[in-house]
Amino acid sequence: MIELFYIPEVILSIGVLLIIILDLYLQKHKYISFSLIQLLLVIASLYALTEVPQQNYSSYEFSEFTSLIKFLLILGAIIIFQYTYSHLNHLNSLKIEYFTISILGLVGTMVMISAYSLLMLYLGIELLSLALYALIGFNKHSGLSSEAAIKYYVLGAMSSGILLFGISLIYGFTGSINYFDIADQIRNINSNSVQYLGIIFGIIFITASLCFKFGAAPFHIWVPDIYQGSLISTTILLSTLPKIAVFIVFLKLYFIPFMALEYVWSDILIFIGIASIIIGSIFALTQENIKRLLAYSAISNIGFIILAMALVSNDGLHASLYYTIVYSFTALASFGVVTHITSNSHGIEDISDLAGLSKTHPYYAILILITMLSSAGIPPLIGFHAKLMVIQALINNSYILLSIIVVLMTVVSAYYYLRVIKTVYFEERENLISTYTSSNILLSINVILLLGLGIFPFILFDTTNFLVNLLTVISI
Amino acid sequence: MIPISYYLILSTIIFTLSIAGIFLNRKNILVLLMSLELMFLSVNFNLITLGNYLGDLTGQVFVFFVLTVVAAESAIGLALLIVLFRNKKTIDVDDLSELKG
Repeated sequence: MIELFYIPEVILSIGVLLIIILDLYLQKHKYISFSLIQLLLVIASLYALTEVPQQNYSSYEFSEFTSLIKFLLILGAIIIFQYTYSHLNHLNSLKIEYFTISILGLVGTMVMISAYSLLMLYLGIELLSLALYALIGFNKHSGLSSEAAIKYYVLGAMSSGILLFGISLIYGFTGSINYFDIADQIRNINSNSVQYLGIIFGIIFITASLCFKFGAAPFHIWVPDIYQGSLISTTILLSTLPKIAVFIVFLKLYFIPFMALEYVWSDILIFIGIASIIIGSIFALTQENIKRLLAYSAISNIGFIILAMALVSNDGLHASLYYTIVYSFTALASFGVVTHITSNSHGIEDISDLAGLSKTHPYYAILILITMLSSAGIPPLIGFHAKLMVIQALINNSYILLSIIVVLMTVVSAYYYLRVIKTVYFEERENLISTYTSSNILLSINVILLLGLGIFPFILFDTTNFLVNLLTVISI
Repeated sequence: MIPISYYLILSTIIFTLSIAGIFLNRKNILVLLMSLELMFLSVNFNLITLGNYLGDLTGQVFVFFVLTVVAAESAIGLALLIVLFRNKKTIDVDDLSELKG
C-alpha cells in the first residue's frame, strides 16, 4: 500500500496543496514559490521514470509506456512554466495559483494516460477540463478571456456529457468498464444483435467527445476562439499537454477495448483526420491574429496525427506517435517565441505586430524562421520527417488519393507559415517591439532541437520506435 | 415489469432534449447550464437502469462519481458566469460575439 505514495500523481497533488499554503506566507517572494513548483515537477519526473511497472492492474495502468509518457508530459510542463513565468510577470498577472491549477491539470492528463477503465478515463478528462476552464478564464478583467472561458465551459461540459452517454452505453451493453473485459466482450459479439448496435452507438458518442477534446475538424469550432481569448501562456498549455494525453487515450481506447471493431472506427477517424487537415489549412489562410493562425495550424496537425493512427498498422502508429512528439516540440517553440516578444507593453496579437522584427531583434527573427519552416515541413527540419512518415504510411496502406490530398494541403499551409516569415523579414513598421531576456536559453535549445533532430532524425525515430514496441506489448 | 428498452428510450429523449436546449437556446446562459444539468441527469438515469438490469453495482457507483464531478463543474461554470457578467454586464448568448474571424 505504501507504494501508492511513489507514483508521480500523488507526489504532485500533495506537493501542490503544500505550495498553495506556503504561498500565503511568501506573497512578496513569488519566485521562491515558483522555484518550489519547478523543483516539485523535477522530483515528480524522476518518480515517473523510476515507476515500477506492474503486471496485474485492474483500473490503473503502471507500465514502462505510461511512465515514459508521463515523464515527457512533466518535462513539457517544466518548459512551459519556464516560458510563461517571465511573460506573466511582465503582464503583472503573475499568480502562483496559475501554476498550481496547471499542475492539477497535468495530474489530470497523467490519470488519462494511466486509465485502464472508463471511470478513470472520465475522472482524468474532468480533472483536466476543470483546470482548463479556470486557466482560460484566468485573465478575469478581460472580456475576451471570460467569453472564451464560458464558451469552452459550455462546449466542454456538453462533450463530457456525450462522453458519459457513450460510456453508459458501452457499460450497459458489455457489462463492464474495464478495458480488458470490454475487449473480451467485443471480440465475441454477434454482429446482428442489439448488443452490437448499442456498442457501435457508444463508440460513436465516445469518438465525438474525444475529437472535441482533441480539437479535430467537425468539432473544432471552439479552438480558434479559445486560443485567441486566453492568455498566450494558457494557449501554449492548451496546445501541448492535453493533445498528447488525448492522443494516448485514443491509442489505448481504440487499440485495446475497441480493437475488434476496427472496421467501424477506422473509417470514421480517417474522415475526421482528412477533414481536419483540409479545414485547418484552408481557414488559416485569412487569419490576421497570430493565435488564431496557430490554432488552425494545430487543427491541421491533429488531422495528421488522427489520420496516421486510423490506418491501424504498425507504421501508421509509429508515424502518429512521432508526429505527436514533433508537433508538441514545434508548438512549444512557436508559442514560446511569441511569449518572449511583446509590443507596446501587451503581448503580440496580430501578425503585423511582428513587422520589422528582423531589424530590431534578428535573433528572435531567426527563431521564428526556424519554427515556421519546421511547421511548414521544409526538409532539413524535423517537421519534414514527421509529415514524410505520415505520407509514407498512407502510401504503404494504399491510400493514394488521400496522400495526394495531404500533400496538396501541405502546400497550401506553407503559404501562411511563409507569410509570417515575410512579415518578420520584409515588412517594416514603426513599433515598439521589445523582449525579455530572462529565459531564452531554454527557448534556443528548443529551437535548435528542431534543427538538430531534423538533421539526425534517427535519435527521435529510435525513441518513438521503442515506445511503439512497448505499446504493442500492451495491446496484445 | 417495465422492459429495459423503455428506460433507455426515456433517457435518450431527455438527452436529445438537453442537446436541443443547448443548440436552440439563444437567450440566456443560465438556461444553457440547466440544459447541461439535464444532460448529466439523463446519463445518470441510463447508468442506474443499466447497472440494475445487469445486476452490477458499478453503474450505481459510477453515478456517485458523476454527481460529485458535475457539482464541481457547475460551481466553476457559475463562477465563470459571474466573471463574465462583471466584464460585459450581460449574460445573453447573442452578446458572446467578440471572438470571431
